[in-house]
Amino acid sequence: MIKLTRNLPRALQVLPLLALLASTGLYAESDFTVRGFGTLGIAHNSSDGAGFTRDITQPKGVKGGTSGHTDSRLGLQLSYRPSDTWEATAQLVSHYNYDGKYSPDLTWGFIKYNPSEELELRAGRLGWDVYMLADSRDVGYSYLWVRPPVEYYGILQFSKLNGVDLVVRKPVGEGLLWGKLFAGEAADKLAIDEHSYADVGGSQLVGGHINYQLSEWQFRLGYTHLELGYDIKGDFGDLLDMLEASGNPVLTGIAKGATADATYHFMSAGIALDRGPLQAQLMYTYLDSESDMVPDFHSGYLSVGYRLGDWTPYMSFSIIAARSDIDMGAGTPSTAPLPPAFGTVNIAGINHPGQHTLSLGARYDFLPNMALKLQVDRSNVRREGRQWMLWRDIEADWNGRATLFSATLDFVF
Amino acid sequence: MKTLWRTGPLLLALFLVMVTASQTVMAEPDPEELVLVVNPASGITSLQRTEVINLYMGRFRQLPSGTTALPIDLYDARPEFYRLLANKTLSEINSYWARLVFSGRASPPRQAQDAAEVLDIVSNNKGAIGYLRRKDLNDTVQVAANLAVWATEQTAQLEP
Repeated sequence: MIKLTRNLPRALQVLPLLALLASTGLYAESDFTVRGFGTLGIAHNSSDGAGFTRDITQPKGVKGGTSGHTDSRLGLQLSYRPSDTWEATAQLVSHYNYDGKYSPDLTWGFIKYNPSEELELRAGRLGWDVYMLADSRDVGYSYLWVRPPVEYYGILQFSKLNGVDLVVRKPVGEGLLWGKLFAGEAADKLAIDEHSYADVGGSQLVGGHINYQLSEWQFRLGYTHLELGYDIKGDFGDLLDMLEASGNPVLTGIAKGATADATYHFMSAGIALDRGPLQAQLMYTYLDSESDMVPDFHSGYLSVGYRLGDWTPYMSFSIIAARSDIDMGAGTPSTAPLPPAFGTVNIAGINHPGQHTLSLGARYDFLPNMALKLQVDRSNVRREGRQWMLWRDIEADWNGRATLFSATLDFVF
Repeated sequence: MKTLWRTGPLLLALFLVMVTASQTVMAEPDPEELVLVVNPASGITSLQRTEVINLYMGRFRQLPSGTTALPIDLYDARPEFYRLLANKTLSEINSYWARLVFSGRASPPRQAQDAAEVLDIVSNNKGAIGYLRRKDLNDTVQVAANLAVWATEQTAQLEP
């Protein structure tokens, strides 16, 4: 506990007080508004076989102990709305990042033009809206879980892009039909390990989704086309440079393969039900990879929660699995790094890597702007998948299982 | 005659039951109940629950006439309003707005501190929509729905 407190930046420690002082910030009314959100979290991993991370930005995981880094974060939003049609918004989020620091990240910074309810146009830095709820992953207060299901939201994900998006809305029948188109360049840095990261900045992204909202039901279909390109920096980057300069054609080939550009297609479908005390979601994504190094993936989750007074117990089951019929080809080097969005993998003997997690938890809304959450996760990682995804610093004899106990205090102000 | 003699008391009893029943229906409405109000020039006579949810949850803020809607919350009555509208607690509503606000999508309804402020805003804005207790109504606004009726509908849906 003492170690945890020392690890958290001082700014994060005073935040609950700030939240109490300004409890109606969400409803602030003026041209200029300042709002914020945050999570104080601790996560305990009972397994000392591998370090658990929440997403691919985290350089080091929690392993055989407790950490405040996994879920803690703090966000601040400044918004200026001089008229009904124009808005400028900037949002900064501080969290445990690829460099092991909490330096604030500009997650949003856009100008919005809103000529009517039917049309909305934004340009600037925008959130990663490839999956339902993906662009509010940092806002713990907005969902039931301690963290979004990691198999779905933690892997194969970026957080932001520099570009434009367009929203069109139209009432159809009893419901509302709306769609979004977006295009831009990724702007993330992803951790490979404590001393290396990948800069995916400049990767081209085009996509969209169509939604139908019918009373308590929401249906969504989405497609995103990603041209992933990146530079590897730090120790791992130095190693690749060395291989490439070695003059040995095999080593040069490995180095080039590790940083080769490739195209990916994300196809997603989701159904959400929000009926009074009942909240349920079913999401699915298929990743079609054109890379020689990355197989196609299925991922999805089912989550159900039911409010009882101020408590909302919930459960979720999330899964990611590579297509089992993947043929990596005979010429594939026995060990090669995957593009960093997917972590590094030992390709030898790859069958169908994957993992799944069953989570049980409860959210307690003890104040109108603050909630306490407790969650237990049981994760199961396939043998072939241990060297990748969300696990860091893996022991050779790890059995692929981990139980996590987490608690968070989530607030908005 | 004999038949009338026998059925007379029965008819009388039936008549009394009907009068009592109709009196219950026609009884003075509860002055504390929440009613939804709009501007008389809005062209709206009544609103469906799904339309009101779209307006108040920031999904589609446009009145059937095409005017941009301006939904108003009555601060102290919010817990009751959202329970009647969607069977949601204030925490759930705040959590919902947190997602929309911090993904730059929409802002929550404007907050009025008392009924007088609701009346003032609604009577001065063609697109405004608000709610208040029946006892606070005046003729500068028009009633578009009785929220207690929706709550009854919800219960009916849950218990078929």
